[in-house]
Amino acid sequence: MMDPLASKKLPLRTIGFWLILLILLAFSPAIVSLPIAVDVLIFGLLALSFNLMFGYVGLLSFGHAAYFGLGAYSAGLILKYLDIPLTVGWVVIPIGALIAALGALCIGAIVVRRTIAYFALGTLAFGQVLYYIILQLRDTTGGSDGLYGIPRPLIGGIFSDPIKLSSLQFFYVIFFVFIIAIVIMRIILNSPFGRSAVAVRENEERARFLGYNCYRIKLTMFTISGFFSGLAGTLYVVFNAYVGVDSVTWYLSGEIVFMSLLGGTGVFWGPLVGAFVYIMLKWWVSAYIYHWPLVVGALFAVIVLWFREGILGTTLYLWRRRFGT
Amino acid sequence: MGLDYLATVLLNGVSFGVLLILAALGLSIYWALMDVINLAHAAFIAWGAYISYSLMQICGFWFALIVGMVIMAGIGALLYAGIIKRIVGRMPAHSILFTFGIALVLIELLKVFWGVYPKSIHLPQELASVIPIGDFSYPFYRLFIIGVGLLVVVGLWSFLEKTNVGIAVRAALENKEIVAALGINIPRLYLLIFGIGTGLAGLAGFIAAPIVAVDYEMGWHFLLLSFVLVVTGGVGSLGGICLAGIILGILYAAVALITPQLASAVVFAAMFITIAALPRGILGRGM
Repeated sequence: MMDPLASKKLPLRTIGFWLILLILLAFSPAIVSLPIAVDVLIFGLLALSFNLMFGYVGLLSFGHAAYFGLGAYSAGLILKYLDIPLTVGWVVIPIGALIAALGALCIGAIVVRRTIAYFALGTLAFGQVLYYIILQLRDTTGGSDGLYGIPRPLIGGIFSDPIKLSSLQFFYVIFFVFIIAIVIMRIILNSPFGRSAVAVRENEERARFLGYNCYRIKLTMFTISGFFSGLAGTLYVVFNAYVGVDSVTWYLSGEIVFMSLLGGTGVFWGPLVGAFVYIMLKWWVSAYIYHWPLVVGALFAVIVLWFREGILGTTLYLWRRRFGT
Repeated sequence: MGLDYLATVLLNGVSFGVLLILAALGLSIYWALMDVINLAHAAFIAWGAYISYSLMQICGFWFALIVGMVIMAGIGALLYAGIIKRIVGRMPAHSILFTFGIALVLIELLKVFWGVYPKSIHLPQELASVIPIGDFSYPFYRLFIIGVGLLVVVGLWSFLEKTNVGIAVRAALENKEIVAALGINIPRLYLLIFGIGTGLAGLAGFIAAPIVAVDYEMGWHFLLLSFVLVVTGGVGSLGGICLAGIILGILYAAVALITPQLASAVVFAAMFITIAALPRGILGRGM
């Protein structure tokens, strides 16, 4: 049987959508400011990778900051302590992501077997374990001060002197990695494997009767999710030359969940929209409202009760009702 | 490393374990009975400590202990009736997210009302004394904590085993529809249980206050460790929680002597081992 989506040619609308998205993101440093644009890409990628688990497999990972932190800290430690030439320093990006994936694989192997609640608490606990270990290894990780003085990778160096990239040029490196990452995510989700993950979410028992190995599907998706979260972490380190211990705490984990819910977990792009709205809100509102968590907490409860589709999901619903497509 | 040293570690561990047991009891019952995983419990623990702290300014430790617990039970029941009952019967993921939001709001309110600086609670004369154990002098207050824990656990056990309401709770754990069909008001039962759980969380927060710092973050730490107890003890198993509390408390105290930061990490690691090996808890009685 042919996959209905794979057999179709790329419709004009899809191409147009990607073009608009690429242009919007590419010019985002000019539209919003550069730090916000970088944050949107990095935390957008993080929220998208979280949603691979929550939206597509239906498992709530409540400690997703752990994989972000694992990627960020391993990339930072390699750049800082291993004497690799900075022109090849870019290799920390895939290495950090792979280490995060490995961490997700180990934890997932234990917690993916159990119920949703155990999965949520188990992932949360792993985040805390990592947090305490980073605090404990103060001499290498900098403890609660964070890891400072991480050198940024350089470009070139074979025929000429290595060139230092400006922050804007770094943005385009991150942009490039981000685009590759989401294209890979789309390919994975549209593959038979991605479809089987949705089958597991919708009805695990039936998927098992059809011969799917649900445990392996969930574990694979969790590892992939950990990989992309770690990727976001390494990008964060490469850009900021710093990683703080707050990037592994439950608070960031909560923020990731919040961005995804805000944008809508039922649509692939929802978390990216959520990350954008959340970061803008945080930027503007927290300047006026001192007790920002009051707003976040209340919104959390409201979204879960009445606004489950999120911003993008609701917009798409209204759009379809209005225009019928 | 003499025997008295060992005794100190054991007593430290058991008293810390008792604090966790008090905090975990509510979590476990909500989870087993209503399928609600209540992260707002973190806020209840911290609120218990702050409210009792303020009460102590007016009228002393013992009054604050009792009244603080009653106030917390009232707040819990009100919150349940007003907000949290909407989430009963929904997916566990939704209850986690919903109560996380409530917890953020409640903990931020702590900062609004009491400020961000840690508070310290001074013990009354009769509790502040030390008793000698061999060469060591041991604070009497930790023995008091163990006593309170014993009292609460025995009280809760007799409530569940001997009273009609307790029997209804245990029956509802097995099958809610039949219990409802027998004419028991299930929503009111939930309200009562939520009040008791919140009251115990407040009590845990307050009696923990003199040995840990009272700040707005304290609830999270307790909440996460209490979840470890619930999971390792088996969801809904009173005996399992008590056993897990004592074992993990001693483990925590022993590791804390060597490396304080890693004590929590070791406890969480114990949880992973239990999840992998004994999904129904150490007594095998969980849900």
